[in-house]
Amino acid sequence: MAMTNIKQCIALLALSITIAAALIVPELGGIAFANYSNTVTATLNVPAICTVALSTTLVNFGSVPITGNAPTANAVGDTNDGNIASNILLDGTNWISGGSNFFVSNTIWDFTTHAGGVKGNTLGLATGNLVDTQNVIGIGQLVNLFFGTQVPSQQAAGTYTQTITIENLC
Amino acid sequence: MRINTIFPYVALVSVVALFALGLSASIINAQLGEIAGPLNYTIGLGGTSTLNMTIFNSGTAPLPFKVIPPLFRTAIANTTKPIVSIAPLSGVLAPSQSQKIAVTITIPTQNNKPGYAWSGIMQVLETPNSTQQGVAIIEGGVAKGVNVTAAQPVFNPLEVVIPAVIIIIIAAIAVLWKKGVIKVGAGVKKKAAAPSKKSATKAKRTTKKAKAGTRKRTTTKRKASRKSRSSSSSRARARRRRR
Repeated sequence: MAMTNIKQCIALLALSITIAAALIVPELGGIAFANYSNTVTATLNVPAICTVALSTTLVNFGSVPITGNAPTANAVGDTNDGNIASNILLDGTNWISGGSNFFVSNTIWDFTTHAGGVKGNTLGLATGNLVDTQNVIGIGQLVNLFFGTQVPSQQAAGTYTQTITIENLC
Repeated sequence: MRINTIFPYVALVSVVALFALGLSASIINAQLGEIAGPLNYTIGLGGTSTLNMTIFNSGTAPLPFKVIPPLFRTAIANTTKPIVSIAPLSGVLAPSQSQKIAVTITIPTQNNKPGYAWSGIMQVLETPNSTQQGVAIIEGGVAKGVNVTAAQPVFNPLEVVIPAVIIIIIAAIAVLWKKGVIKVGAGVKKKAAAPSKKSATKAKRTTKKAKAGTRKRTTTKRKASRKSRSSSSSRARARRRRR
């Protein structure tokens, strides 16, 4: 009887070990033989950049006679060094000399030069009246804007100053 | 495991740094720049939202700048325009420095409805240092479109939570009162248990009257018993006479 019990115990033990091994080995295999060659996914977000680079910060129209016109020949270069095309917007302030002034729209601009006469487009006042030139500057492209001005009749003599704003919109 | 976790970030930072270096080399002549793209807001009526515009100086000299807020326009008549708040409105960008400009928009509720939309252009301009007279001073700048759309009013949780709490408290009180946990008249009973002097005297009077009533009752009873006794004695006398 004792021998029979021992045999049964051994058989049960062997069965238990077999079941345990069947359960544990796959787990061990998963740990012991794991693949450590991970794949790294690198993501990179390239932002669209809009820039403005002007060739000059001053335009001197010289001495302009009353009712005369300065040729639309004063060039200002606008370069797009960004990585996206941009639109050129323009506006300006009135011409001011002490207590005298004349309106911003006397300044003329165009993408080509004019020898004389009132040709081209008039500038808008810088109070939300940005003029869209409808000109798109490509990436790395340079666009020249040519400015001229005219002086209204009976305008007081003086040294007049104006601010012209050139903006790139992206 | 730590190396595996950190590696993607290290790689990403390295790539970004290399790209930024290459980009800055390619735009070395530029001065003022911005991260392109419009600022698009969808804000509930009465609500506020803030987005950032990033500007940078890719030149080699300090760059003074000023910001001009957008002037909003819309195709819809009689609307109240969004309120714009910008910080900072001006400053100086050091070479290779970038800065975020916070643009906060609030949509007033007055005259506005969900679906209304406005658009404008915000300008960041290089501030010219020139004081020269008799010339046109040229300012360079970058412009950014700002689009605002009104949505449904902003949900304020307090507007719902506070009335709900009040209703729950009232309902709880009602339930407790019905179950008898809370007795509304408990205070009144206590007052009755401790009567005033006037009521005490009244009570005394009533007890006296009651006592008087009992006396009357007792006297009538006595009278009745006396009558019955006298009648029984007269009967006895009549019997004796007969005998």
